[in-house]
Amino acid sequence: MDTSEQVLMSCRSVCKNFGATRALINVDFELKRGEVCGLIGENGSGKSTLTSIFAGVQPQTSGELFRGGRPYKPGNMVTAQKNGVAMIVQEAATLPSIDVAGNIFIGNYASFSKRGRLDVKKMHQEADKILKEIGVEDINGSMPLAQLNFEDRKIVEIARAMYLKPEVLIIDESTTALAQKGRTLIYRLINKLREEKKGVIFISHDLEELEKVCNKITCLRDGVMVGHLTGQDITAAKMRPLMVGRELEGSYYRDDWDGTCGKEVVLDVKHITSANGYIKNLSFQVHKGEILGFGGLAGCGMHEVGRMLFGLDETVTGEVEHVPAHRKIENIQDAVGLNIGYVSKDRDNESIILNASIQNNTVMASYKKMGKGMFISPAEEKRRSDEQIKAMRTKCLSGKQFCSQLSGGNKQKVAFSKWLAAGSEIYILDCPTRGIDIGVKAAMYQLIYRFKKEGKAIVLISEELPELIGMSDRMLIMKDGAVAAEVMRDRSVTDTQLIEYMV
Amino acid sequence: MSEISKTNTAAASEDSIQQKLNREAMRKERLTQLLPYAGIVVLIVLFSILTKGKFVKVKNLNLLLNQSFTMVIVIVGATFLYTLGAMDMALGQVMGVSALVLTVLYNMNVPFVLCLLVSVIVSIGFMCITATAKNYLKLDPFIASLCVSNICSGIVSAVSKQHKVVFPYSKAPWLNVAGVKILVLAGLIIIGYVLYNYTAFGKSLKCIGGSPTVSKISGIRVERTTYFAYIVMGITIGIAALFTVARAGEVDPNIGSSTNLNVMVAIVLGGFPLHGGANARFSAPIIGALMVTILTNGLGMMGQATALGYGIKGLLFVIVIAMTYEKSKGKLVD
Repeated sequence: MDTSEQVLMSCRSVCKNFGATRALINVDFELKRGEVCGLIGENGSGKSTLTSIFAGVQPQTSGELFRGGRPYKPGNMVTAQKNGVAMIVQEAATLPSIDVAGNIFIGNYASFSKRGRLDVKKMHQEADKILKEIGVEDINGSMPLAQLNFEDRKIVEIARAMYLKPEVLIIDESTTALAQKGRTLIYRLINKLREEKKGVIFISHDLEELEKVCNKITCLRDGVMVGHLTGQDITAAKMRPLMVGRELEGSYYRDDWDGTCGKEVVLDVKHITSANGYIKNLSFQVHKGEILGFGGLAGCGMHEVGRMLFGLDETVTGEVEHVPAHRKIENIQDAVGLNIGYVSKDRDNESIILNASIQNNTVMASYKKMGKGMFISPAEEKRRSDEQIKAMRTKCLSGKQFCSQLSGGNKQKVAFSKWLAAGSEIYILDCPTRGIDIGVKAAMYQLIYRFKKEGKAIVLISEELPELIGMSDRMLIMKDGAVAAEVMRDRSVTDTQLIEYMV
Repeated sequence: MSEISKTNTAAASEDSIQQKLNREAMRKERLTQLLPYAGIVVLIVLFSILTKGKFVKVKNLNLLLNQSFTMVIVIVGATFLYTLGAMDMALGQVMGVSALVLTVLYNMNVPFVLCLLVSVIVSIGFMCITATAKNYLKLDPFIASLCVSNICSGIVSAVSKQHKVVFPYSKAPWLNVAGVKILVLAGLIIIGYVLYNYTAFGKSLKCIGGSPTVSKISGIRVERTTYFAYIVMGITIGIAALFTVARAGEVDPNIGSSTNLNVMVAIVLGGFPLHGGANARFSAPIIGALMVTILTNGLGMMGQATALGYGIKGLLFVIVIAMTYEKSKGKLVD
C-alpha cells in the first residue's frame, strides 16, 4: 500500500488571518487511516480554526488541502460532507423548533421528497435507524427537539454527523458538554471508526480523556504546529509542557499548606435564604486574606450563594454584612461601592461585553471612582486599561481590540482586570478557570494567591475539586442548599473525601 | 549560534507580516470612519456641478439649514436612545403632541419660556412611558413606542381636525432667524457631544447597549441610565417641536409623520450600529442626517424630487450599508 492511499486528509502550509489576527501560520497536518488524532493547544491556538477549514466552514487564507491524495477545496459544509468529512461542533448547533429527524437530515431533505411533499414517516424511520446504529435507545426521530436536554441535543448532532457515513469525523470539544452517557457513546463511536480504518480528529481540553482514546497527538501553539506525540508518549504529563511551551515550574496551585488567614471578618453572612427557598438559613464568615472555597455537585446551590453575596440574587431573609464598613449588602450597587468584585461562571454573557473593546470592559466598573465631578477623561480610561493589560499580560493588539476577538483565557483576564481596575478588596469568583487553558489557569492561581497575600478576601466557587483543594484555606462543601461539611486546608485532603460529603 | 540567528530572522519576518496585517486593519477602520464624510463632500460637489452652482448659493444654504435643522436636533437625542439599542417609532408623534401643547398655550398668552418648558415636559413624559415599559414591564421598547405613537397621533388629530391650531408667528419672528438656529444647533451638539463622550452617563449607555446584564453586574444603574437617555430624547423633541411648528405655522395632523423613518435612515447612513453598543460614535447620525438632507434637497433642485428621488435614495442606502456594515460583527437588527 503506498502512502497516498493511507493518508485520508492532509494540508500543507495553511495560513488563516482574521483581520489582523493570525490564527494559523504555515500549518502542515496529516491524518492517516485508522488514526485518532487528538488536537491539543491552549485557547486561541487555532485548533477550531484548522478543523473548521477542513469541514468547509471557512476557507483558508493560503495553503493547500488534500483529501485522499487529491487537492480538496470544500467551499461549504455540504461539499465537505459529500467528501466524507463531518464535524460535531463546540456550540449547540441544532434547531429547537423542529423535530429530531428534521435536525438529523437538515440540508438533505431532497432525498425524502416525494412529488414535492416531504415523506415525514420515512424520515422518522431513517432517523430511528441511525440513532439505533450509534447506540441510542431513548431518543426517536419524531420527538420535538425542544423536549430534549442539552446533552441529548448533542447526541442528535452526533447522529447528524454520522448519517452520511463520514470517513473523517471531527469532534470539537463536544465532550465538555456531555455527561457519562454521551461520553461513552462518543468513545464507542471513535473506537468503531478506528477499527473501520477511518480517521478521527478529536479536540478536547481533558488531557486524561485524550490519553485514553487517541493514538496520535498533535499540538498547536499560537497558530503554529509545535509537535506530535505517538504511542507511549501520549501522557498528560508530556502534553502539558507541549501546550504551554515551557515546563510548568513549581506547584500548579500554591506551594504552601498554611491555611491561616487574618482574624478580621470582612463578610458576615447571617442566616440567608434565597428567593426560591432552596438555600435556607445559611451562615458563614469570610476573613481578610482568606481563600474560602465552595464546592458541591451541580444544583447544590453554591453558585447561588455567590450571586446572593454580591446582591445579584435576592436574599429573602437574613443579611450579608460588610463588617469593616458596618453596612448591609442589598444590591449590586452596594456591593460594587464596597469594593466587591464578582466574576461570573457565564463569562460571555455576564462577565464581559463581547462587542466592546478591552478598554471599555476594563473601566466599566470604575466610572464612579475615576470621574472628576461628572466628567471622565478618556486619557485616564486609557491609562487604567493599559495598566491592567500590562499587569495581566493580556494578549491583544491594543486596548481598542474587541473582546470578541480574544481567546477564552484572555477574555477571562479582562473579566479579572475589570475588578482589579476598580480596586476590589473582596473577590467572588464563580468557576474562574472554567474553559481556559492551563497556561492562563496557572497565571490565575498565582493571581488569586497574590490577592490572599495582599490581605484581600476571596470566595472561590469551583466545580473542580483539585483546584478547590489546591487553593482554598477553608472549604465549605454544599449539598441540597446547605453546608454539608467544613474542611480546613491540609495536605491530606483528597477528592474522594470531599465527594463523600457532596453525595 | 547559526540556529539562533535563523530563528531570529524567521521571527523577524513573521513580525513584519503581523505588522502589515495590523496596518491593513487600521486602514480599513479609518476608511469606514471617513466614508460618510467623503460621501457628503462627493454629494456637495456633484450637486454643485449639476445645478451649475445654484446648490451652494446662500438662498439654498439657508434652505438646507431649515430642512436639516429640526432633524439634527432630534438626531442628537436619538443618538442616546439608539446607543441603548432602543429603536423608537414615536419620536415624530410625541413631537406632534408637544407642538400642539406649546401652540395652544402660546395662543393663551402664556409666557414663551413657560410654553417651551411645558412642551419639553410633555415630550419627556411620553418618552418615559416607553422607558418604563422597557425597564419594568421588560417590554421591547420598539413595541412600547408603537403604542405611544398611536396615542400621540390620536391626540393630535383629535384636536387639530376640529379646528386649525395656528402658531402666532408674528409674536416670535426671531424663531426663524438663521443665526438663532445655528446657535441653538451648535449649543445642543456641543452639550450632547460632551455628555456622550466625557461623562459616566454616556459611557454607561454604550455598555448597556453592549450587554445590559454585564452592565448591571458591573454596578451600572441600568434602569436609571435608561430613563436619562429617554429624558434627553424628550428634551430634544420638545425643542424640535417648537421650531417645527414655528416654521410650519400651524399644527398639522400629519406633523412629524416622517421623522421616525428619517431618523433611522440617518442613523444607518452615518454608519451607526442600529443595535447600539460600544461601536457607536456621536458624530455618525448627524453626518447621516446631513447626507439625507443634502440628497433630498439636491434631487429636488434637479426636479427629481419624487419618483426617481426615492429610487436614488434607496439605492444609495443599500450601497452605504453594503460598504460600511461589517457582516461578521453581528446582525443589523436583532
